[in-house]
Amino acid sequence: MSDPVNPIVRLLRSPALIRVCRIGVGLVMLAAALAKIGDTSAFASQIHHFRLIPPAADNLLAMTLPWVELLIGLALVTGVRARSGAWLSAGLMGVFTVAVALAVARKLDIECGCFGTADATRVGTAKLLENLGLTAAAAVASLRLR
Amino acid sequence: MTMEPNRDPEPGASGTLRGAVLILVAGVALGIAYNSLGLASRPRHGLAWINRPEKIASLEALQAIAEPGTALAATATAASSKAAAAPDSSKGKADTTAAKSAKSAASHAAGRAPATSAAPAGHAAKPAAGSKAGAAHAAKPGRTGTAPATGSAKAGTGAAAPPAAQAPAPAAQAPAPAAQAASPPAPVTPPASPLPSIPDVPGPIKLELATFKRLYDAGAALVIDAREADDYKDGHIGGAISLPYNDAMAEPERVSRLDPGGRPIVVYCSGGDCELSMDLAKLMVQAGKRKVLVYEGGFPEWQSAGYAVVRGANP
Repeated sequence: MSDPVNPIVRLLRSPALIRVCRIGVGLVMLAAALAKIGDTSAFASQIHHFRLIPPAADNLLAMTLPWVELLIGLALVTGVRARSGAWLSAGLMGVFTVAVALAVARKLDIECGCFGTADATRVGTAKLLENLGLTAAAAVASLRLR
Repeated sequence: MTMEPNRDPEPGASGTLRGAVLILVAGVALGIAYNSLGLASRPRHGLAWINRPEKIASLEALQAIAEPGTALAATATAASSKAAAAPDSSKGKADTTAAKSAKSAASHAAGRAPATSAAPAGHAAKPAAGSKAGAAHAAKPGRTGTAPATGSAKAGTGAAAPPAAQAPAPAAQAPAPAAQAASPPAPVTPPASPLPSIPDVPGPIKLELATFKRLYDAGAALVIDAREADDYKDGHIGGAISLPYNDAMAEPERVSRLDPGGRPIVVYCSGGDCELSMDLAKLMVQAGKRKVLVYEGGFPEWQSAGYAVVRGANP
């Protein structure tokens, strides 16, 4: 339980930073979830364009993923089961980042679909960096508050 | 956990994991429940549980139903142009394909007009031997009517595609003078429509390079480039108008403003995995446009076929 000497580690473990990360990632999750729930069929076709999962599963993922994101967002913002939400968000962000990286590597010219149809940005390096940043924030949010 | 809330405000790893599973299961359950509600409501919304990939009709297949002769010819065109575009190493195989397609087109023609049946075979055999320019002619049985005797002679002497030359009609094996003697009185068969008629079906239709080229050459289609404006600037199909899918999404009036003037609309993008053209085509159909065609081979196929490419921004 001794405080780490390294100031960077100490900063990363500071409850204030962890809370800020949780709320920030939580708000992003909520925004993403609400945009997708509004138009699941568009989200299903966006998932399809990534060509990563069997087409038959596109719809199932499109109808459930936004609700998981919604609950994660609520958990992070309200602080109820916040660390569980943070773990899940870190996992999801990791998967999203890999998906975008694969799309970039395969030179797919597709919409990210990260925020449903509200965000028409194509997958690319900028999106990849954005996702990496969010993954890092979710990782910090996953640390245990002491 | 509730006994001493301040000592350890957050659960450890196992408690966190349990919470994560709870969130995951609850989220999935909510999603399924919400979709069930949507499917049960009127008007019905929500997604089908299992996504069945939609079948996009192809123009060539639709024509096979509507007019078998034309469709066979179109197949022969596709095969012939593939043969023409094929690298030398695989040419033999491609030739066979072209010859087979040409043969079926020719046999069909034989059923309708035996006197000129050797002609299509002759013409088809010629492009199969590697002449790209001649490939288009194989597709148009109508044109073969113009010189049936020449066709027979070529088929009789051409060693490039013997199956096509021999199989469809005995006339092809006959000496050239005999064929010439027989052919002049033969009436010229009415040409099959030089341009494919586009059926007015709801939803986009796919089309192949050969069919697209025929429409393009006749100026019988409004060509739309669905790629980003920068890609368009770097090179596009001559005469195509740039309408990036993103822009069409953001400004739907750009789609409704399009006036094809009764012609079909052909949309293309970068071929391969690119789905911008299909997405834009669907958007157009939603906006009320009819006869929307998708050229899936896209710009790369067009360019490698050596057809007209233009650089620069939207006119």
